[in-house]
Amino acid sequence: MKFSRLLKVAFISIIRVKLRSLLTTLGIIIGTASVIIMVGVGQGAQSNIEKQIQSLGSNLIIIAPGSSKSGGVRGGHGSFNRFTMTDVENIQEQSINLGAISPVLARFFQVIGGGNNWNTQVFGVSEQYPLIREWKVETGNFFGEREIAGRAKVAVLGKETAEELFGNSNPVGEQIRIKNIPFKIIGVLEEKGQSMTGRSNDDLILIPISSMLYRLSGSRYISFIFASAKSVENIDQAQNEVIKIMRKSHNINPGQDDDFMVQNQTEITEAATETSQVMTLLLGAVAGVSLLVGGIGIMNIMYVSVTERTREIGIRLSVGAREQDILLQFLLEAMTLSIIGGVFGILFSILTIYLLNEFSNLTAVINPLIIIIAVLFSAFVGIFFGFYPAKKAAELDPIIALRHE
Amino acid sequence: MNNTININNLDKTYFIGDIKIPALRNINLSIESGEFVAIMGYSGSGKSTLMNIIGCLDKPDKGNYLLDGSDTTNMKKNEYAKIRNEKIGFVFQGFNLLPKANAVENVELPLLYNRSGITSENIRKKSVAALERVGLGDRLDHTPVQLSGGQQQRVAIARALVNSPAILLADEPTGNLDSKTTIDVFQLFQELNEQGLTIILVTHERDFARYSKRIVELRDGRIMKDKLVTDRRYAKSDLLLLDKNNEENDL
Ligand SMILES: Nc1ncnc2c1ncn2[C@@H]1O[C@H](COP(=O)(O)OP(=O)(O)OP(=O)(O)O)[C@@H](O)[C@H]1O
Ligand SMILES: [Mg+2]
Repeated sequence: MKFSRLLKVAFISIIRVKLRSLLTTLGIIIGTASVIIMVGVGQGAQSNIEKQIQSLGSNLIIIAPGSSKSGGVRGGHGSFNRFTMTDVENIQEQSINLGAISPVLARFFQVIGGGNNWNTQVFGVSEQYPLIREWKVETGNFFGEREIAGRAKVAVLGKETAEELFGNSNPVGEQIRIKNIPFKIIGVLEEKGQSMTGRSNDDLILIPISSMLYRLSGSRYISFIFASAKSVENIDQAQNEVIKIMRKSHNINPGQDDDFMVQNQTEITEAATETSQVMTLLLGAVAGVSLLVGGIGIMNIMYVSVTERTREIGIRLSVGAREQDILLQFLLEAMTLSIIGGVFGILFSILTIYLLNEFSNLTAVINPLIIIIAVLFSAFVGIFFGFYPAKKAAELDPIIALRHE
Repeated sequence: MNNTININNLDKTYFIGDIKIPALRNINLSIESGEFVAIMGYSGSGKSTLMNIIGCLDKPDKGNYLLDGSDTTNMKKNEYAKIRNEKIGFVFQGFNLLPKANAVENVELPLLYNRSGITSENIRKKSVAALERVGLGDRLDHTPVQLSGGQQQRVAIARALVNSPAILLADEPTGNLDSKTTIDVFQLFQELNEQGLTIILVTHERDFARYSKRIVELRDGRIMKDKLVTDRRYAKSDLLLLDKNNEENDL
């Protein structure tokens, strides 16, 4: 029989048992929809994590004190466990692959300004810090090399801090007191939102590192060194270069462990995405099982259908239908059922994902690839689970099929 | 047209558990193109079994069946299907219509499986014509349950004829019809036979068997008699007679 005619026959057969067809497709609808939704939610979480990591700044390299190998026996050479400005200067002078570099020393202080009192984190950094973090100044300016050299009492406020202290009025030019020392506000940063740790990136104060060291902390140690590679491509080179410089200046002999850690953003991203990928995979697998169950539902119905319609098959065979005609007819029925189920599953999942994004704090993405895979898979389920009953139908002996009651 | 049926030493035995039921025993039968054969016999004598084998729906256990000189016993399934589709029209004892399809859809069925590339419009046209021929032109979209037993039988006849087969096999095609309609059907058969169609049918009534040219009688699976009809009836003149009688009765 011509394919288009077979398709018509299959369609008519499906229409004739509407309720049963609907119930059969329900399994596929739920299966396809849950695959798309689950993977969508998983990938939504994944892209959230990636976005947050991106907010650290591109090409970021973080150098922290301490060994990356926690269990190793440390050598007896002096205690270089904390960094000083000398480390920053060494790296700055010797590196060729780094674009920007900044020391970071953070402390919590009670800050007074605009008639208000606010406890916040104060960061001592260099003038290159905004470049590394890709932060922008919304009003006013950031401090420069001159302010660093002069240990200037200037501060740049995060958006939230500015609002807490000064409300909606422009704080640039105003004064704040940190540890009773007056600082002049010279700029306010753009709003950036949540950081990965959940702490706001907008509630902070940036001051020159020199002012931090000499006026506030009273020690010569800094917490971290933040740097950025000149480009994403040479981030590994930059990292290796930093390690080499640090080992040399800390007099670490070959074979001895580093007394510092260098991490780049790709590594951080990889670790985080790997976790969320595993989660996506797991969600998808669970959903896949339900699709499989839907497929078994189709097989079940096809079996019932073949048994019920044995006489019909006999009649078709008796007027000259060939084995492959019957096989194809039942296969097409199974496939049509599962594809219809797949299509409704897609519509349902798109609606659900839309509602999730709109009315819940879950982020789910619609992945066209997963949709294609889900459709192909549901067609495959139709073929796979429809084949055996269809084959059974096609191989019937006409006279036996006709005698069937 | 040159179709010949040649059956040699054919046996067909059914088994119900261990019990052997010989349905056909040592059948030898040959039917030439253009013949009109009535098969008679008591119930259970093997008439339907023989028809099914001739119609390529069933296979013999022993002996062989040559159709147009080629042995059907070793044919592939698809060749069998092709014969059923193109060469033979079969009217079943129990009609065997698709219960959910209407009259035209039922009649269309053999054409749908035809491999000649016939268009959908032609399929429809031919099916409607076949139904009109059996007097059901006004019942095209009725499903079997919406038709009387006689009408269903005529749909089955239309389906058997729609693909213009060379051989028509009919297992008690008039079993459900009143005598007037029965004679109508025999008139159609006689007309088709005159045009060259080979007809083999099963009937219980000797009166109706006389519309054929040859009567084969079965008993317990064996051919008991095989005779040409000497006192043949002609449906056309019977119908005329019937009309005349009716008119007289009306007066
Ligand atoms: N599928 C079957 N299984 C077992 N025995 C069968 C089967 N079909 C037919 N028979 C037996 O074979 C014999 C011949 O049956 P068949 O149907 O050919 O008779 P028939 O002459 O057509 O009878 P009727 O006039 O009642 O239609 C009968 O004894 C019947 O019981
Ligand atoms: Mg019978």
